[in-house]
Formats: sequence, C-alpha cells, structure tokens
Amino acid sequence: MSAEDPARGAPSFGNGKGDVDGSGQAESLSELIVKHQAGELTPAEELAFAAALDDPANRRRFLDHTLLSVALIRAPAATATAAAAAAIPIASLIPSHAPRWPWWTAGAAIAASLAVAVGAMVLAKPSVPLAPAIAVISDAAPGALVHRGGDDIPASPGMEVRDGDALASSGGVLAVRWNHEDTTIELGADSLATLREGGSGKRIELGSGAVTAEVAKQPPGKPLKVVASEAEATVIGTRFTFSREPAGARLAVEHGLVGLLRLADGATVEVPAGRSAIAGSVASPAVHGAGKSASAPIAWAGWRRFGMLPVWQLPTRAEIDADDTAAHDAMLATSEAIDLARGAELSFSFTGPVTAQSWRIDVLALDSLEPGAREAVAWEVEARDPARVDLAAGTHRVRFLFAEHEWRALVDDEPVARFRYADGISAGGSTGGRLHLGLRATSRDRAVPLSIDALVVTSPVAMPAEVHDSAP
Amino acid sequence: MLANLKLAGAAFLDIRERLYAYLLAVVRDRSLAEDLFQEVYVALADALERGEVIADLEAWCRGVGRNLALKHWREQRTSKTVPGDRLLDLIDRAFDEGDERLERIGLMKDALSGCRAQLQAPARELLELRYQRDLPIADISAATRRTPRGVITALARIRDQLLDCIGRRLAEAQP
Repeated sequence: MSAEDPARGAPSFGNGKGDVDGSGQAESLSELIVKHQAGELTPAEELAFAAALDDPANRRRFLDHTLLSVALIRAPAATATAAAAAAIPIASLIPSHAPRWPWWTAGAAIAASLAVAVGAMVLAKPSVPLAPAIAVISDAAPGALVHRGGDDIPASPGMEVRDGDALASSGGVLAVRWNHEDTTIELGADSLATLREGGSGKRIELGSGAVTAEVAKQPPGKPLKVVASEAEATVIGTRFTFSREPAGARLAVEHGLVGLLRLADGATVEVPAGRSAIAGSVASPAVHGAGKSASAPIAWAGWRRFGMLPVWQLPTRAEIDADDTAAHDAMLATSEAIDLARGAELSFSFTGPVTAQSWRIDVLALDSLEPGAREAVAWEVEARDPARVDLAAGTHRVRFLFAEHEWRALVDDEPVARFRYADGISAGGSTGGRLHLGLRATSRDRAVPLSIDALVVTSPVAMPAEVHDSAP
Repeated sequence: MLANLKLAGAAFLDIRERLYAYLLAVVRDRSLAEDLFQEVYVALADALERGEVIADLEAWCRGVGRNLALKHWREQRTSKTVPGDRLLDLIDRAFDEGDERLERIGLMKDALSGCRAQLQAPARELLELRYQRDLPIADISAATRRTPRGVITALARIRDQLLDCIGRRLAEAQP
C-alpha cells in the first residue's frame, strides 16, 4: 500500500494495487475504487471496501484515485484512434442517462475520406469538372432547387449534392443526408445554404433562413462548421438549429455543445443544450434560454463550469426565455456579468404560483473595477411576505434599477427594496462596478411550474467584446 | 473565521476543486456533485446571512454537502447504491487527513496529460468512454465487447499506471 516517502516527504502515488485482504482472491483496492465510483459496489464489497479504508495508506490511495477522477473528468478528451473508435457503434455510446453537459469530445472517428463519385452525372455540364458528391437529398418540398455551375436544378429525393452546391428551399423543407455518416441537415422554408467539404471538415454556409442539423461525431480536427456573415458555429456532434435573423445569427442547441464564434471580433461562447445564442454585429454573443419548450434550466452552465464569477458578458440587451416545469430549483442566468453603470437596469417578468416563501431571486456578486474592491453579496427579492409586495398569482414584472450609489428593486413598478452599494463601489464615474447576475428562482414546493421570461438588461455603457471563461 | 460572504466567497472558490472531489467521492455522479456544489454555496450564503460564524470553511462545506447528498437520496429514493454511514465517515476521514494531497490537484492535472499520452490507444479510449463521456460500466462493456468485470479490471490497471506515472513526475518536479 502506498506510503509517504520519508526521504522526500512527498505522497507516493504508486503501490496500493494489491488485493485488499492479501489473499489474492479479493478484488484489488483499485478495482473496488472503480466500482465505488461507478456506484456498483455490492453490500459485501462495500463492507470490504470500508474495511480497506480503515488502513490510512488505503485512505491516501483512495484520495489519490478520487483526485485522479476529477483530473480525468476535467481533462480535455483524449483522441481515440480511428480504428479503435470506429469499432464502436455511435449509438451504443449514447447512454440512456446521457450527461447533460457533454464536453467537447474528439470521439468516434467517422471515415472522413470521401470517394469521388464516378457515376452518371446527368445534370452536370460535361465541360465542367464535377465536384465530389458529398451528400444526398432525402426530402425536398416542391420548388426546392440545387444551384450548381450556374444552373438551377429541381431538387428531388435521392439526388446527389456535390461540394459547392447551393441548396434553396422554397415553401417547405429541404433535407440532406451526408454521405458515409449519420449527419443530416434540414433547411427551413425559404432558406439558402451552400455545402462544402474539404480537408478541414464540413462547412455549411447559410445565406438566409435556418438550418437544423443533427451531426454525428466528427473526426478529430475536422469539425462541421455552420457559417453566416455574422458568426460561425463549430460542431463536433450534436443537434442544433442555426438561423439568420434580424438581430444576427442565432444558434439554438438541442443536445450537445456548440461553440459560436462572432466573426466581427472573434468573441466566442459555448452554447450548451437547451440554450441558444445570438451573435449580432455589436455586443458579445449572449446565451439565452432556448425558448419555452426547453426542458433544462437556462443557466446551469456557469455553475457546471465552476463559473462562480463571470463566465459570459451580457450585451447591452439580452432576452431570456425559460420554462422550467420540472426542476425544483431553477437557476436562471447564473454568472452572467455586465458592467454596472448608472442607469443600468435589469428587468424581467415571471409567471407562477406566488405563495409564501415560494420564490426568491438572488443577485450574487458585485465587483468594483478597482482592484481589490470586490464585494460578493447576495441580493434577494423574496416573496416570503406576500403582503409586503402584494403579489397575486399571475405575471409580474421585476426591475432592478442601478443608480450611482444604490440599487432599487421594483415589482410591478412598486418599490420593494432599496440598498446602498458597499464601500468602494459605485455605478458610473471612473469606479463603476461589474455586476454578476445569478438569478435564482427557488420554489419551496417541488416541481412548481414557474416561468421567467424576457430578462432584459440595459446599460448605457458599451460592452467590450469579450467572453470570459472561468473554467479551471 | 468567516463571517461575511465577501471573504467566504473567495475562500469558497479556493476550495472548489477539493469540494467537488469530495462530493464526487460521496455521490459518484458528476451532475449531482455539481448540483450539490452550488447548493453548498447557497447554503453558505444563507448561513452567513443568518450570522453564522464558520471556523473551518472546507469542513463546513463538506458537512453540508454530505447532508445535502443524504437529503437528496431520501427524497429521490434513488435505486443507486447509497453508501453506508461507515463508508461516508471513512471518506470524510480520507479528506480530513489529505490536506497535502488535496493541494496537489492542480499539479496532478498537469502531470496527467503527459502520463495519459504514454498510454496505449485502447487504454486512452477506455478512459475517454468512462471519464469524458461518463458512460456506465455496462455501456462501456457493450461498446468495447469486454465483460463488465474486464472493464473494471482494465480501468483499475490503467488508473494505477497513471497514478504511478503522476507520482514519478511529481517527485521529479520536486526541488
């Protein structure tokens, strides 16, 4: 078993691999630890494991293994060899209780090399070298077209899509399945997208409309990218919708994790399942709830990434929708941060049963921009006393107004709280603060239908185009 | 002693990895561990708001985390094996005694990347399935055509190799 090295006074990470009872029959301590961590110890094994942990050396070994597990979880994904990974069916790797926050994984490699099709090219001009076939149309509403080499070709199921083809849907959908893998894309009505594939991976250039994609795990170093003029989404394997809207390029992720890059300034944000992001031309991409159909709370990400302090910066205006009817404790917009300025305002509406002690909202922390003047506070607006704020069931509007030396909370335009900032912090002037928003709607009753929507933050100061990531 | 959230918030961030490691050791479910992690912070904020003075933040957080885990298991009536009190006590003891080791988690992470690179591809793949993709043993067994016992044995050996390698690297790095 492991022991401290007296010569160095350093913990040893070796040894401790033998059988627990020295008989050679029992499982090794390491195996028991693996089973414990997997939650698969039988009662008898748990007894043996506990007996082993009576030994201080085994406790040290157990601690080492625990820390190793944390390090392995936090480590970037290893790259499996293509041969090894290809032997594992993708479907078999998706557990029934798939983690809610899959990290970027360079998972199973799918053969990326595409054979150049040599079949009959009925629709192409003989004088133009044919680009490789990369996909096939699986569904096409009437009126859908493939633009190729200056020609508009009516799209139909079974038709090959070649590198560089532009697909135009009309009133209905146009669905395409990528060759050699389970990657499908579906253009919404009146959408235009060009499909490409090369050495750096697959690329969908969205000219207008929206594209929904279900992307199989992509080979390491060859992600699928969806590009609009405002932003670029990098996909390893997930389901998402990328659309162009007046406010910018919008990315909504159903499962998996997608990185969104705003092309104007290189700002990036990772958009997890159940959330969406809009990359416009001015402010940083902001992560939003993906709408009322989203089943997940909208703001777990900051916590899950240990982002107790800033993770993303809100733009000058952000709208968040959330409808969490299952979770008992909806964390909303945790760890978002804005520069605090005189006149800044945070407001939102919520709908849900308002009973005594039914909900509260915390604003977690406030930093001064002056070094060392951080104030971590929990501001709370709580409906513990309905009479105080006189809230009947229904929809209510909550506003936080940030003045220079104090902030005020209003519910339905009625003041309910007024607090001065801590010393050294003010809003405005040269010592403005940074506000870390951690909205937390807490229900004392489990599974209370509560929705918070239209979270809007306005601030008179321009937001710097940066995205913070406090992951370790 | 911590009597306000300003100090406690900074101290809490300092111990976050250690606390997460403890919660993971207790509940063995990374999502639940992260849920409990944030609940511990909220409990800390509440405690300080009530005027509670906390002498040993890490021990306090571990205690709260353990209670929250027990509460979770009671409420969920989970089918997952819940560790007995004796095992939980021993886990607490391991963390109580392991201050020096716990401080080295950052160094372990640094050393891990080099050690992992030395592993054969199938070993790296197994680690990825278990720790990046968070697959249960049964799913890894099905995906890799090994028996569940074979997966456990392989993982144990790989982890032992990694700990040996990390130990050597940390020892070499010492002045």
